Amino acid sequence: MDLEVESDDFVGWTGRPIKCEINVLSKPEGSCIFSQGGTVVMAALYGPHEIKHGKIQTEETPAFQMSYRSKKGPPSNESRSLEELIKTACESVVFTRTFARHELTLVVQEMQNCGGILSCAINAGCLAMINSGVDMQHLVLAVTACLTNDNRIVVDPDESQLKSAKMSMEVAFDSELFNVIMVNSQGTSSVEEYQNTIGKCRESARILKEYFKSVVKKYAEALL
Amino acid sequence: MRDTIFAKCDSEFVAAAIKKKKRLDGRRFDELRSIELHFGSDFGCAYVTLGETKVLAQISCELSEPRNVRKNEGNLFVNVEIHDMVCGVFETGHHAHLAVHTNRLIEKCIKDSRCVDLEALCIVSEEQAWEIRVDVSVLNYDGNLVTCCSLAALAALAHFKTPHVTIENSEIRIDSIKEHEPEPLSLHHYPILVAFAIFGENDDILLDPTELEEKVCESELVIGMNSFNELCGMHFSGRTTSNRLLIVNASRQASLVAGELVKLVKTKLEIDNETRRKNRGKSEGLVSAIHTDRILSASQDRSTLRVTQREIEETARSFLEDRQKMKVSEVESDSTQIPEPSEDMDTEEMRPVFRKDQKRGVEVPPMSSFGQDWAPSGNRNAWTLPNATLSDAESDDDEDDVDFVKTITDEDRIIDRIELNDSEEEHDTIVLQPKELK
Amino acid sequence: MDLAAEPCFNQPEEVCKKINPKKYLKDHLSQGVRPKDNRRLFSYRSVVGNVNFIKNCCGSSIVKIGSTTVICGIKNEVTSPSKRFQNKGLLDIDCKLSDHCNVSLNHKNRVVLLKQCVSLLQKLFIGLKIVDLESLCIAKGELVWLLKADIVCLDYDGGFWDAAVMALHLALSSTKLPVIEYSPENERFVLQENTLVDLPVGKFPLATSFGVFQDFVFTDPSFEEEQLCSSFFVVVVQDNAVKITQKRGGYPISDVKLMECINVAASRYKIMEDVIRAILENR
Repeated sequence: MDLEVESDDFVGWTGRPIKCEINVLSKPEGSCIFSQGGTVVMAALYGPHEIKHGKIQTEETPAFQMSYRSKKGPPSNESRSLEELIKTACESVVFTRTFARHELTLVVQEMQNCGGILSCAINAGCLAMINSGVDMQHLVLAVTACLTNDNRIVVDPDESQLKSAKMSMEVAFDSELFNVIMVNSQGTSSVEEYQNTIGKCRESARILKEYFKSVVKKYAEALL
Repeated sequence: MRDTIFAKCDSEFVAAAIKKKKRLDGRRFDELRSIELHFGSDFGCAYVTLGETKVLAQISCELSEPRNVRKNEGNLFVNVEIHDMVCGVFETGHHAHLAVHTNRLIEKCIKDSRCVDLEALCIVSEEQAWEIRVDVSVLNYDGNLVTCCSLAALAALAHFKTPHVTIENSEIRIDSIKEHEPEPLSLHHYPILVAFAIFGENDDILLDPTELEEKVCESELVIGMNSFNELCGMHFSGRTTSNRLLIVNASRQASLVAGELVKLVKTKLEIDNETRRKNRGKSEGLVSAIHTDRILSASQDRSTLRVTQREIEETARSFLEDRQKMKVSEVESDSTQIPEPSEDMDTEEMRPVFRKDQKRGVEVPPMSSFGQDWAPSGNRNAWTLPNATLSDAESDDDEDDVDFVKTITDEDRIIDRIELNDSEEEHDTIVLQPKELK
Repeated sequence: MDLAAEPCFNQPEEVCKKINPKKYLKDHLSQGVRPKDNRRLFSYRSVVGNVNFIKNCCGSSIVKIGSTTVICGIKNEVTSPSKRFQNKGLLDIDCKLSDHCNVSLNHKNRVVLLKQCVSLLQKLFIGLKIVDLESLCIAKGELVWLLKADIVCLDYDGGFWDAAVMALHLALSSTKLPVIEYSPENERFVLQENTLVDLPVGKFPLATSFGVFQDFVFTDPSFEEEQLCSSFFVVVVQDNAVKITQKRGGYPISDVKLMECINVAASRYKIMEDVIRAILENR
């Protein structure tokens, strides 16, 4: 039951400590609270439920709703941008077509932000989807990394490291071929540095996959 | 769609149980569900769980010009956010109503009772004052939103600190937290909203109603109380009641509950301060709200019908007594129903019937191993004891024994089936795992 | 008559396009050609730019990529700074699609994403200091410039983000602000309308959009291609440095493709920098 046991499957993770609990909420079909270091998010997946009336389902409109809620104030441009990235990253892994005239809703609530909220939110969303038992093509694994001023690559940095970094990026991979589903980077870097950072992120994503596996194993007996 | 629809028999069952002074989750009428309170690593962040109701409150502040009416006061703004999905959507207007209603009650409790010293928020009269914003987001709803929200809001306010402001030659500068220790808000008193559900004829008052109880009850009563036993807000809705003692009784209960909750906030605040002092102003915050040592859906907490330890003991004893009686009677009456051999019973006694969970009350192990008298019902993981509240009353009658034997056989079959299902499930997961996980 | 009523019979290509647009695009792309204008996968449409054509703005620009037309105008105002950043001016960016674009709401919400575009522009111009907000300060704590940049798309044919970045940069580079000085005699600030100074703006950032359609990645998608793409990848480069990359979900792309995109974007920078310089010199 203890997460500490999982360090066997989970060696080599260089980032901040990860902690997660699945199925924390009673209402949604799947939910999880997930933390990387001090960053904590809660994700809940509702559905498949009927599409609200007035909306017409077509080929182009995917049956996937997503809302990202920051904890203070009305949504800003920044949080809208985050929402869009989380949405597209999580949307791409589910088969939404299997339910006619029904849609899924993913709600991600920011609970504590100490850097790397985007990757944390995507990972939480993925775990919530696993919990709900929705058909998925593969997992989505997100990693934050940054390039410090002395050209060191730090995987899963904390807030202060992110602030002083010259480039930071969030990458989401699929769990099969580890291709890039989503990438979002800002800051200055050369092309080689960029490539190296993505490489490092991919290595971490592989370890993260092991972690996800161990989480699923832990809960599988009771939940799935 | 999110809105759980309750059947009429459900609500009648609840009402019937309450008439017999029993609640479905086994609580006493004046008992709260389990409460957890966690503070975030940012100032002014509180996460409260009350049973399955979960809310997150965050305070933020901004410098702004004070209102024209009150030029030497800051401003307080309360916003309760309920996502569409958390509460029902199809019941038109209900969701909006609930949000507005809760918002207003919290505002009443915190703003109108003048718990926050607004004058202390003023920096330069008529020019600059802090505007405090309370954002409460509801994460999960299972009744009694008001207590949960008001507790979260209050705890967050008590935890919040405004950054220090220095004034140099009429120029206002906000110091960062590193430069200057931030200052906590000054709170005059600690008000808490306590919700009750009132059930008809006998004027039964139920503290901390669940969603089902809220739906079924005839009227709801919300009382705002602070730790000095002062009333600071009241709301009554639903069918009228004639008993004026009811409100007095309820407020007496509320003052006890409010006192307890305020004590909880204060002790948690002290613990938080202590950890911050030790770790140079840092705390891990909400990370501690993640419990890796429990799996919720399998626990008692998620089941719709819960029994207390006492009740399990009682019913177990009564079942055993019944069976001994039955044995005697069956020898005489030559019944076709042959009860289980006594060996089984011996092993039952050796095995612990229930075990106390680390966090949340009593956990009953899956019934398949526990003998044939109890049948699991409900969801796959929510093992419950059917008729738990009724069995006591029925076991008195001798005639019911025969009925009872019959029900055993019925449930026997159910047990068999479920056992089968169970093993299939386990089998399934084992097969699926490698495929899914790769 | 038959010809007029059923033109499709005479043009099998049109039939393919109508019946199965995805296969139509895929067949073209697998041959290394784009359907409409016979471009190759990594070739661009023509780019036209001009500055200072709105007289009421302190800086303005128009950019045409293919037939996508974007104008950007900048208005200046004097305000007091925020309490937290007393020596920083303000740059307010807003994006709009005019009604002439004829873009469906669905396409707008899925592809054009004006809010996300604003967020990217803010990150690029303010966060990465292409415009230094401190240079917009007139007197610390009292007066600063507020620049309102409005980006309007007049005609939409894909690649709005690329055009928006370019238009905003051109408009900011062409901005001239009047000088405001404190005169001790009058004890107040005086606006000197005749002396105009250039706004210092950093180097040109080149934004390049890539459409991701199944396994194919191609540059500068047009409107029709955008409708079929499952994902987009935007790269902003400046000199040889990668500044911002953003790929929104959808079809995953391999590392090789990703790096190819970045290299393609970076290799175009020198040419485009010259183009920008030429546009700005021409004013």
